[in-house]
Order: sequence, then structure tokens, then C-alpha cells
Amino acid sequence: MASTSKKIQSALLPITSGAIILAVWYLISYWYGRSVGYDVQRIIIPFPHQITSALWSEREVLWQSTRQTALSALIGFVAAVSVGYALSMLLASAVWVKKALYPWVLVLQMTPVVVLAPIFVLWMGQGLPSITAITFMIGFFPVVANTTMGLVSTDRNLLDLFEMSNATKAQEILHLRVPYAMPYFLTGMKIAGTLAPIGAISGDLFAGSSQGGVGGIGYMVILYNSQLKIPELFATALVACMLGFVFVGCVNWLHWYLLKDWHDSARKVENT
Amino acid sequence: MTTNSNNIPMVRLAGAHKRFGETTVLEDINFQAAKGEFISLVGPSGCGKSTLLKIIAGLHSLSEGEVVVDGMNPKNAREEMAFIFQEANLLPWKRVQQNTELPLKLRGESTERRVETARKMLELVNLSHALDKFPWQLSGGMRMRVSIARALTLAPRVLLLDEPFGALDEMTRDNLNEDLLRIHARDQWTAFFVTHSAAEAVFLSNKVVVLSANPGRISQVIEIDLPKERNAELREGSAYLNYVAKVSNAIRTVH
Ligand SMILES: Nc1ncnc2c1ncn2[C@@H]1O[C@H](COP(=O)(O)OP(=O)(O)OP(=O)(O)O)[C@@H](O)[C@H]1O
Ligand SMILES: [Mg+2]
Repeated sequence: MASTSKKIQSALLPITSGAIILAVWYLISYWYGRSVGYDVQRIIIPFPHQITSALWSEREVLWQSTRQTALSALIGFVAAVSVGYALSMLLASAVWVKKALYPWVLVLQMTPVVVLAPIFVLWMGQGLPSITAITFMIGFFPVVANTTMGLVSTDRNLLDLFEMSNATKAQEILHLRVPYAMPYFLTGMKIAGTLAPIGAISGDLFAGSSQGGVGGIGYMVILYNSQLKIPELFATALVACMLGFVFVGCVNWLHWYLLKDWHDSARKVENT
Repeated sequence: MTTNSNNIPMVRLAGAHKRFGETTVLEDINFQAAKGEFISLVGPSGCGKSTLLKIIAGLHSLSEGEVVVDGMNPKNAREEMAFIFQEANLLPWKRVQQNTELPLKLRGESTERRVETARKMLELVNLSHALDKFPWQLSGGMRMRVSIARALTLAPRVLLLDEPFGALDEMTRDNLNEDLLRIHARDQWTAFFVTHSAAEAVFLSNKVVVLSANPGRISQVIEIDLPKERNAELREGSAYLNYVAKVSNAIRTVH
């Protein structure tokens, strides 16, 4: 079938390009090792197989770190989404509320998290609470901005329709504004989801600790770097990347699942 | 199509003015419609047709003058009115059945009555086969039918239609016009129908109100004295064509 061969073709393309990238990597590492010696090469551009064997030998530690980071990312993400949503509802409830509060939300957003991070550590100490707070700060604003936009931009005609039906304010919010804002909210959620693992790892850089076991991914980055365990550092990058994929994948799935029936961004044409 | 024996006007506008800030959109509108009348509103774009409908619906308030619907302030007469918008205006996240039930749901009707009424009205507009579809799965004409069914669930006494078929092709529009007349003959609501098409206005109405622009005033009211029973054949008759010419002319001269 034509579609099957198309599928094979589209799977073959990234595999081929991946193989080329690997080959080039080997070539560069090899060339570099030849000119400066393989001891130096190992801690500057390790061979891909050196990275995978580091990944294997450090698998337990890295697995622990990943779980730790995933936990911080998840808590920070859930907090950002739920607090962000609640705040959006408040901001959209009346024009004066938005006028009063939105500038301060912006101020908070404009303050770089790297500046706030040491303050969080000062208040909450090293560890999970601070890391989660940093993740929260990063993911919070996209949720608020998008959801508020969705809640206040409800179609005028739909509002008129509700008014014609003598709908109460509560009905208007529940049956119109909230579902209308759903795609906006989910877009904010997607951005927050993309940022959450990054937030948790950066949080680790500031507030990571290995108290009670191993630290998160960011902590391992610092540790491996200081010990010149460079293949392990690359392996950590690989793990962080996979965590990002899993996280974003879940969030995208949720986005698709909630909108698949009706919204342009998620639906596919049906053949009925 | 003819005026009902009942002489109390269903909708009455007296000395109605509407201003948005400095600009006067409607000026001194005096008009009344009896029960069962089908009134079309025509006039250049921006002359205030939609505004007039929204005033009758109580969605806009008047700057001056009076509007009365069934003896009441429009806001208190909402239960007796339904509004059909230019776009079908359906909730994209609800299926046809739930969309049709929406106004009844908002009014707190029991689920049983809601479901039954919506079914019946969807049957009336020939959509019984599409109850479980989402709006995006429907054609423009079907969407409009849902919108009509939704309005009819309320058993309105006044139906306000703002260019409901403006975006549809001529065939679909003609069919929907015939459906509308069929239902009107059955239920005898009072209709205010905004359109840009002289032919459509003549086919549907017993009166065509021609508005002029800047400010919007009633420039002419043309009575359409055609038989009550109207069908596709009517469109070929000379009486009908004369009226279409007359209305087109009236629209052109107010420009
Ligand atoms: N909410 C509003 N605020 C200010 N001006 C408005 C508002 N609604 C309508 N207008 C103005 O009132 C005038 C009449 O608008 P309206 O929508 O009633 O015209 P219309 O006859 O329905 O036109 P069309 O045929 O293009 O739909 C326009 O000049 C418009 O700019
Ligand atoms: Mg209009």
C-alpha cells in the first residue's frame, strides 16, 4: 500500500539523518583524539559509545535524579496550572480586578527567575520546596496570560445568545466562558509543560541538594562537571532530553484529548 | 401572512432614537407589528438594522423613545423572544442535540422536556439524522437549521433574525426560506427579518421596511400583498417579480 511505504519513508528519513549525525560525531571525536590525545578527547567530545556506557554505569543514580527532577517538575507544573487558572478566573471576573492586578503579575513575570532563585533558597532552603517554587514561577505566567485572554475574548454573539436566554452569571461562566477559554488555557498549559522540566533542572542548579540520596538532574550536572566526568555529563543531557520528551508528550496528549472533538487545533477530518 | 385580527401590537417602537456616543444610529423610529406578521428590514450596510433588532431584543437600550414587546419592556419579554444570528452561533464543543437544548437548559427545564423538545424541533428542520454531530461536521445550511431549531425550542412569540442566510448559496437559502414559512404558518410568531436580498424579503414578508442610512430612519414601508401560501412557483409570477423590483428600487434610492 502507498501509505505504508510513505510511513516507512518518513520513518527512514530521521533514522538516516541520525546515523549521519552519529558518523560525523565519531569523525570529529576521532580527529580530535588523534590531534590532542584520547584522554583529553574523552573529556571534551566523548565518543557516543562512551556516553552510552556512562549512561549504563550511572543508570541507578541517573534514574533517581530523573525521578527527583520529574517530581519537582510535576509539582511545579500542577501548581502553575492550577494557581494560574484560578488567578485568571479572578482577573477575568471584572475589568477593575484585571486593571488592579495584571500589572503586578507582569512585574512578577518580568523579574528574571535567576534573580528570584537565591531569594527562594533564602526563604525555603535547599531542596524540593525551592526547586518547585522556581518551576512554578517559570510556568505560571503563560497559563495566566493565555487563560485570561481566552476568558475575556468570548464571542460577543454567544454572550448575546446567553443573555437572550436570561442566563445567570454562573451559567455564563460555566457553560460559555470556561469552555470557550479551554483552547487558550491548554495552550498556556502546553507552554508551562515545556518549561517545567527546564524549570526543575534550573531550580536544581540553584537549590539542588543531595540530602537523603541523590540530587536532581541539575545537581548531577554540577557534580559531574566538577569531577570532570564528562561522558556522564553528556549522558545526563540525554536523560534530561528524554524527560522533556515524556513530559511534553503527556501534556500534548492531554491537549489533544480535551480538544479532539471540536477544536480546529486538535481534530482530524472524519470520514463518515 | 396577513395581519391577525388581534389588534394589540406584539412589538411597538415609538419615537425611538439610538445614539452610540455622538453618532445617531437610529432616528425617530415609529413602527408596530401585530401578532403573526412577518416584517423584513432592508437598507444599506451600517444603517442600523442589527441595532434595531438588538433594541427589540433588549440587548441594547434606547437613547430616547419607547420599545414595547407584548406589552412589556423587552428585557422582561425575553422568555417570548428568540434571536437568530448571522452566523449559526453554535457552541463548537457541543453536539447538535445539546446545542439545541441549550436555551431550555439555561432556563432550568427538566432534562426530559429538553431532550424531547429539541428532538421535535430538529425533526421539524429535517436534522433528525445529525443529533450527534458537532457543528464543524455540518454544512453551513445545516448549522443554520440547528440555529433555527434552537430558537424554536423556546416557542417564541417574537422571532428576530439577523441576516440568517446571508452566507449561504441561493439554493440552500431558498429551501430554508420555504422551511421558515412552513413553520411560521404553523406557529404564527411575529418575525423581524434582516436581509440584504430584496427577493428574500418579498418572498417571506407581508411588510418590507426600508431603512435609510446616517442616521437610520424608516424611509418606506412596502406592503407585500401576495397570497398567504407561498412556494417555489411564486418566484416565477409577475406579481412577485414586480414587488422584488419595487423593493430593489427602494433600497437603491436610499443609498
Ligand atoms: N456597540 C456599538 N458601539 C458603537 N457603535 C456601534 C455599535 N454597534 C453598532 N454601531 C454602529 O452603528 C451603526 C449601525 O450598525 P448596525 O450593525 O446596526 O448596522 P447594520 O444595518 O446591521 O449593517 P450591516 O448590514 O452591515 O449588518 C454602524 O455605524 C456601527 O458602526
Ligand atoms: Mg447587521
